[in-house]
Amino acid sequence: MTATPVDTTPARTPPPPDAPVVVRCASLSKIFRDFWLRNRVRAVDAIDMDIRQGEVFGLLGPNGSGKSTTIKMMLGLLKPTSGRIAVFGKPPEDVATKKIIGYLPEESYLYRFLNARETLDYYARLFHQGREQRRRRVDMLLEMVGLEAVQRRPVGEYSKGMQRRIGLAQALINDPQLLILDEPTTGLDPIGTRQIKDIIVALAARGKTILLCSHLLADVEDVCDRVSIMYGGKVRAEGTVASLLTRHDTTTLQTETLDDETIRQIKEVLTARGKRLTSIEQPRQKLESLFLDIVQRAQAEGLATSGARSDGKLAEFLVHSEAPEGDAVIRQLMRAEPPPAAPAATPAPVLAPPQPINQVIENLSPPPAPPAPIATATTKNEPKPDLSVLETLISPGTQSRPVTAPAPVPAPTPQHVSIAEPAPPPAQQAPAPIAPQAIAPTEVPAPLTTAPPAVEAPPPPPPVTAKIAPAPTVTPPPLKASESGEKPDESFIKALQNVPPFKGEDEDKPGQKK
Amino acid sequence: MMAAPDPPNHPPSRSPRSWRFWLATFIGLILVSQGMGVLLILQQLRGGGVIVVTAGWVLAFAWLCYGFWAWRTVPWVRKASVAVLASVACVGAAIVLWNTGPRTLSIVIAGVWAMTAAFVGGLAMIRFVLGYGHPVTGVARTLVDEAIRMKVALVFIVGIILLVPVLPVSLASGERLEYRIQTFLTYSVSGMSVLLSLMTIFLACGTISTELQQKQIFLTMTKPIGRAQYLAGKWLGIALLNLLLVSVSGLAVYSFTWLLAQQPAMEAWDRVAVDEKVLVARESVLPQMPPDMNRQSLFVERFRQLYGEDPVRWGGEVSLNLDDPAVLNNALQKLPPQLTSEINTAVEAKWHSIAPRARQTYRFTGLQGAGQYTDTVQLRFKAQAYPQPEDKRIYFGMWLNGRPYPYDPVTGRQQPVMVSADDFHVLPIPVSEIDANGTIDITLSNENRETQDKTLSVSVGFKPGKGLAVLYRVGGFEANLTRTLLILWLRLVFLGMLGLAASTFLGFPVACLFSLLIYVTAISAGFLAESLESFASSAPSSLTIWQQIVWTITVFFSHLSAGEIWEAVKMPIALLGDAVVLLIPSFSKFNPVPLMADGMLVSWELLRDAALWLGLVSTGVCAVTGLVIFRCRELARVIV
Repeated sequence: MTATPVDTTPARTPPPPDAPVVVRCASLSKIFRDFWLRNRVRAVDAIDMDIRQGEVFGLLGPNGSGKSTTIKMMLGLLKPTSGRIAVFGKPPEDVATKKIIGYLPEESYLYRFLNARETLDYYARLFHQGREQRRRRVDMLLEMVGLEAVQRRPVGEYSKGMQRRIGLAQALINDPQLLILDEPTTGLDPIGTRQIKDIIVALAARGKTILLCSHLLADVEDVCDRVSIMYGGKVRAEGTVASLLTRHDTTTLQTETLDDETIRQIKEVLTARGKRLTSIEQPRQKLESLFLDIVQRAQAEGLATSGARSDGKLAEFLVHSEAPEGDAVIRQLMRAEPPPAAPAATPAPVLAPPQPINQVIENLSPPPAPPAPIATATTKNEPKPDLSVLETLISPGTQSRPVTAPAPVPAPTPQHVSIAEPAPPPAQQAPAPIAPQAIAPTEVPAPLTTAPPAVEAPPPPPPVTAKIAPAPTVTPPPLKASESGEKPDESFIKALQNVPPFKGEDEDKPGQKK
Repeated sequence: MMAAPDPPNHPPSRSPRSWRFWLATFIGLILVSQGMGVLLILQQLRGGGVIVVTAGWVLAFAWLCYGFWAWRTVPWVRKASVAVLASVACVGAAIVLWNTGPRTLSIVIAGVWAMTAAFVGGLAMIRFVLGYGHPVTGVARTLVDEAIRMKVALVFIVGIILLVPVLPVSLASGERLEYRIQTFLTYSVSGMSVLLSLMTIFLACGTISTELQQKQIFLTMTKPIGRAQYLAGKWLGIALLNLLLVSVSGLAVYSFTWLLAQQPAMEAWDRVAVDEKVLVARESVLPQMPPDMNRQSLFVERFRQLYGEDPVRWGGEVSLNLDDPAVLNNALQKLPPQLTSEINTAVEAKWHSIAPRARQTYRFTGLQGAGQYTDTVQLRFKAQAYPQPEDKRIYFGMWLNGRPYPYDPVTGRQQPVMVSADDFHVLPIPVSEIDANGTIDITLSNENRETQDKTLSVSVGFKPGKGLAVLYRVGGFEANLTRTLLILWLRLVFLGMLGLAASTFLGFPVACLFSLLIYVTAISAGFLAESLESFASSAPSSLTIWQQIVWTITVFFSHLSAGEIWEAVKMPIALLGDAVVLLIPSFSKFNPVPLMADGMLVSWELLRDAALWLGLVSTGVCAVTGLVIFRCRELARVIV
């Protein structure tokens, strides 16, 4: 069994907004001073941030925006110049708290002279684990990250990606409740990237809190519940991925291939309703899916490799806790009074007792099954008018199926149909809470198990692109940066463009979302 | 440690059916062949028996090699095969060379093999012990692995493993055995100490600064381990590694000393010297002033004499009536400290010397335990003569508790003792002469004839301190060597913590230089203190601390007012040096190697003091300093 490309749609419910706070930063600042104690770099500038239990929190920003500095302050590797920080209600230097934290730094800082097994064994010993427990966990983790076969080679000989895998394994050795991943996918091949994303989703489904720091926006978009975009040491935007990314000005339908006649009819119906079809396109398979499929088949044929092999399964002890050590520590921390560092003004409790971790896990599990490969129900929860129109349009006397029909096997190449609202709503209305289903990506990769592999498949039919737009054939105006309905790359870049270069501490925060 | 071998993942084409089959065959082969051999020998078929036994061992070895080959993919089998084959090769080569020669090469090979084997075995034991699931042991074990695998420390370890076996065979065989053994002991133990000190400094300075530089510490310190535990783990690893290396080299030194002692001596006295002067632990007792002498009166007498020679220097004015006790007392009290100490030295020299045709009695006390090991104690002395006779011969008459000794048993006449000047000599003294209180009076007379022109008489004397002493055996060489090695290990323990503390705030090169500077200062602390005393005028140690301060300031300004600028400048420099000597522990105070090589006792008191001052106080100060700095340090600090 090799890496199965699980749909990265969050197959779980994001934690409620009143979930206990695991990490709290309050007006956190870090200024690096030079030898003469002159302020040289204001790396982090008065940020406020709450990371809640059970959520996958994304920390975004360009290089030098203060992401890693923030993380290092959370871990006690740096001391804040001002402001407060509390991790599980304790100051970051607290040694006991580290028992339930896993950390993968931006590069894998490993001992070159140890081999993979010794490396993991070493980190396990720092958690007071006995010989037998260490042996079992190291075995499972090596299998999980696919380095069993090379476990006796010194880590110094590993490629960057293999070192990254060991780095991930060491971060999970204690079955952490809070997992801090700093650029986890750098240096990894697409399989490893996908595995890391799968692992993040799986761990989050078990109620773990994950802080993901990255500038690979696709990774963040795939797995995060909430993101915070930093620039110049300040938080420029923060909110749920759903609220930040959902476009409210277009609707995408996905059906089997439509003939020109049907499309024409759809256009007519839409025109009659005052809508405009902006694009009709034949979706292509993602390069990621293609790559994963090729490697999967090569592994199935048993081709030898001196690199990493993995089936991407979570290690057993991460799925079924061996010992509730994490829970015990959390309970212990919960009993302890919050430190004076925690600001009292904020209403949300710092990991308040009402919802112990077990209960959270119960609430979250069993995780809902991944949705059907073809997103027939993608637009189910969208505002009703568009759907009803389309259904009434298509069902009588057309050869196409209704969009809600189950997908036949083998599935014909799906088609995307985008329908634009006549008048895009103002951006200020955007952040209304939306059910998780609504943030399903508009483009779902074809499942590898059923879709014919692209290399051997006959050339796909010419792409059909249909855009439904308001009747006047005027090109819609380009979206503004302030609108939340953008692809993350665009909004990220726009956010940066709007930000004046950093000058000093008395700077305003134009991009910061209140 | 070694579990039963798992069947290999990819069995070779002709592998044994299973490891059980292989093991059964291996044991069976040995049992059957040895049993048959014994039976044959019992049946008086000696030749056949030997052949069967030998063939059995050869077959068993071949089967063992086959097993190694079959399971070569299993990591521990591969390690075991390398160890067994290397051992067989080394021991075989040593046996062959022992029979064919050169035997020295055989000894070296066997020694290197034995030390390597002991080291590898000890290392496995340390790693096993440190496998306990605790952060401190975890850090310690990783440090041991780092030392072995990062080559820096390994170079020194290999150096030690080569030094000890090569040294004894490289010593000139024309030398007296006594000197050869002393040379070997001095050089091997000192060499080991220097090599291990350097290794410790490089290892301790390297480990933390490298982790800070390469950021491995980010991962370690984000696990549940306190900074004190981290430092303790590093220190524990260094201390254990050093303990192993000191033990292995100590065993090797002992074995080779024993091997050297088995070699033929130059003469009978040489053998006696080896047995009674080198491979022993002796206590020394210094003489007390004879009962007919008084230190105070000697002092006054000397003062009078010196005053007569130079009244201005010694009395301050010319016409003092020293016969008046009040004037004399006043003059004595006004004596500056340097002059007092000068007179004291002269007084000591006075009663350690014997005028022509005079005799002097020296009382040695505290010899109650002298007869525990031997019937004799040793009178060791180094005589100096003035003027020196041309043939350097000095003659003594000797009495023990007033009875002549040694005397000719036939004639009953006293035999004069003849020695050469400026060399150490040892005379055996029967324990029976020591009384119940452990006291013996030894009287020596100056029997030197006048020089050839008959105008000068020869005075003889002994340097106060080591020049005249009674030595008696209080213990064996083994315990003495053990205590020596323990003190050396305590020095390494201190150096390890020093290097770790230095690397908490310094980079690798600077931390190394800093630690090496302290090491060199510590080694030469005794010499340094002496040099400082003569470098510039310093307050006499008999004064209290406040008096010393007042003295120093007064003298400083008196130098300035007298226009002696350089003399004044030298004083703060000397003070700085004094502070350094005070802060840095003196290794020369805890240097057991010369004692041990000289057959002198390395006492438990010395070991206890070393443990207290080096192991607890100095190491503790370094540890606390390092920990405070390390706690304050931001590990991920960006230096701009």
